[in-house]
Amino acid sequence: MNAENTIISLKNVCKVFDKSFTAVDDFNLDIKRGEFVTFLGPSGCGKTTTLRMIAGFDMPTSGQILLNGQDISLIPPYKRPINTVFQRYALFTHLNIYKNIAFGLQYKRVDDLTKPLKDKEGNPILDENGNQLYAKRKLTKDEIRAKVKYALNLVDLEGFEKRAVSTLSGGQQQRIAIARAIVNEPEILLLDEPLGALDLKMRKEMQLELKAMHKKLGITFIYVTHDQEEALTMSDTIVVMSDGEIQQVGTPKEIYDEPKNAFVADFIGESSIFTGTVQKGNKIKFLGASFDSDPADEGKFALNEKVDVVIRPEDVIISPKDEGTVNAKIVSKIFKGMHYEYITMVGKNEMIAQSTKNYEEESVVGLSVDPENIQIMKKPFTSNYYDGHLTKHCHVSFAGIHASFDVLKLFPGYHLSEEGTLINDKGEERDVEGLQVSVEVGFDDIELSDDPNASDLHGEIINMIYLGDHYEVTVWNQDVDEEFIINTPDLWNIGDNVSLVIKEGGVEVKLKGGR
Amino acid sequence: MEATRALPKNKGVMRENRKWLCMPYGVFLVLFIILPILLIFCYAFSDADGHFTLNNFIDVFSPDSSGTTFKVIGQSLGVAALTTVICILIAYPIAYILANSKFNKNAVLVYLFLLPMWINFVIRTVATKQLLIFFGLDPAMHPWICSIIGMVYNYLPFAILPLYNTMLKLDKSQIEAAADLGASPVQVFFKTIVPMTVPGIVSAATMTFMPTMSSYVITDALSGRTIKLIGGQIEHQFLHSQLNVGSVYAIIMLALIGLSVVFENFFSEKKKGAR
Repeated sequence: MNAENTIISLKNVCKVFDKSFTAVDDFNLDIKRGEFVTFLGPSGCGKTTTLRMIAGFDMPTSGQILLNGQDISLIPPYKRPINTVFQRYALFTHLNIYKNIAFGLQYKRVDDLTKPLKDKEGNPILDENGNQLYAKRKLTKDEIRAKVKYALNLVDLEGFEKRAVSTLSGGQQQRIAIARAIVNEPEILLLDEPLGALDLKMRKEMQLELKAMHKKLGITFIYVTHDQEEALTMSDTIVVMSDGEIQQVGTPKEIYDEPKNAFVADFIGESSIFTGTVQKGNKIKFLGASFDSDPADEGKFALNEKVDVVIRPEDVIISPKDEGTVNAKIVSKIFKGMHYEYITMVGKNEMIAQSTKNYEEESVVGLSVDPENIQIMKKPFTSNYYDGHLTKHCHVSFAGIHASFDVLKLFPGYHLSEEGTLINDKGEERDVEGLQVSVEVGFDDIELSDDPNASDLHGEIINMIYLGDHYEVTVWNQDVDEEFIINTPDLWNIGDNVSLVIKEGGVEVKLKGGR
Repeated sequence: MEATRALPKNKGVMRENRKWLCMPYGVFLVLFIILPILLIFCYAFSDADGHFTLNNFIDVFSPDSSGTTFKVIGQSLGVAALTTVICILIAYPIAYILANSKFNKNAVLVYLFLLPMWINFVIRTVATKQLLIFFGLDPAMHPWICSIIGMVYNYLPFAILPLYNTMLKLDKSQIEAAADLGASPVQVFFKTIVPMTVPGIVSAATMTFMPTMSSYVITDALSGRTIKLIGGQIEHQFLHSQLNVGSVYAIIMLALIGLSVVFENFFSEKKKGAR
């Protein structure tokens, strides 16, 4: 990125609250002049904290915020050429609309062109670029009036000068808040979920208006929202955040089409996420079937590597039974206006699909996906990943195994009853049977044994690599056609039949996105 | 059929009955508020024999005694105004600090400031007098300073409480917005925090101004009886069996309190209008 074009850059910014809670962790970002940047993420991901540090309400615990190359991280907010549109408008209730908008203007200082600065000998004082410097003056009343009028015009509320804040609707107050910020001609405008309190129709309208305003004014906009649709509609660049860290930076199209990891894919738009295994011949196996994968992904992944597979509902092609790659049963159908949305079950896995065609609930259809629409993302190569589901007695079922795990970690506030069901403090029971989960078993969390009675899980060693201090062994189970990768210090032979013993606490279970 | 028709009728009867619930309050209102005021007016407009006369008012404002009357009113207003201003000046920063969770994590400090309120004020005043003498401030020598110190000490909690309550509800985002728009900390204070706390200032002012006007026990003890408040004047008249003249003073005091209520309403109306 061209350094001259960068208006603000955040370097290794960290924010720690109360010495223990890290809200923003090592945040690095350059924002170009005139760009519309959106910080997108679930609540508590640190996006508002980042915005507040740019505005100056919070100081970074460490790191730098550079505005036009100057470190501003310790400068108080009133000295920064940055203005904010607040989530709850924060209009001054004791002032009328005119005074609200003019509030910032009364503190503004501009060059007094009638008073060029001169040194003692009468030579003009120049800045480093050789431009004449001028004495500063306040804005005149007429100038303020003209600017307020222009700002009101811009937000379509001409003639509202004398009105009291309380007489305005939410949408109008929001416009005034925007006018109050942009009238100061800031270098950067920060918007903290400004449309959150508006109704849907109003929100859509304001999105387009804000976008148009951004185009017209040429000010850099930094926008914070948790609404992915809003982010996709308005932004030039989206910064997806989670747990105080940047997950991905990119254009809306990049973020939507090429999500970097499962979090981004899950957060942006609807998607079904599965655990897949890379196979020979540029194929990928998930949902128990082998799919052709995107030729562009060829060679990017190791053979048998476990990956996240993301399928967008609109990319699923529904065809009659047995004509797709896998068969699925439609369990629910929702009419969405332009199309139907189907929730289908492929075995125990859920796949969301969209189609303009009408299929009956409970019918079995074939599903397939074009290779270029199968998004494959790396998983850290230290664990085995499987799709699984919970069973009635709070066990997890995956890859043909029933394993126990710490179910209470998944459902805080619940405890186990004597019958082995989940109960909360109010005595309400929670039915977990069939819940979709992703299961992670570390390479170090499985032990090999040659005693066939050591466990119910058996397999054949199909591959073994020596990695300096241990062997990485791949075991294949024929019954469920799943592979397990295990780190072991012992030497085994390819073709050995072994038992797999999962260590206590070795099964990590996560619920799948929201459903 | 019968039962359903009977239901609304029953409800109506119940509503009729409910009206009687306000009876105790009505009795209280008549006995302790309306009747005494009527009595005061009767006494003020009658002579010792019970005949109607305006002489009591003429006496109070006659050339011989109008000097004392106006002095008493002036001193009452003066003490009240001074106490109110000083109380608010002291209470404002205290309330701000108390309401800020950064300094006052569990609101215990608030009780520390309200603690004196739970001790009888006569005892407090006697104690204050001894304390002042101990520090070398003799009430007889410095009547005004000592009286104001006593008054401020007694009425400070009444100023802190309403201010504290308003400041708890202060809209922090408006303060941030002002800073964001270029106002320095001092400008933020005068342009947003003060206007936002006007309701608290007004009620703090009324809570101190009205009672101080007539708190003669404090001035009597702490000024060596040189400062006379209107409350003291009423007591003096009544103790000397001058019920009629005393009632005139009572009416004057009512009028002054009425005026300050009008004043307060004026400010809170103005505040509402700006919203």
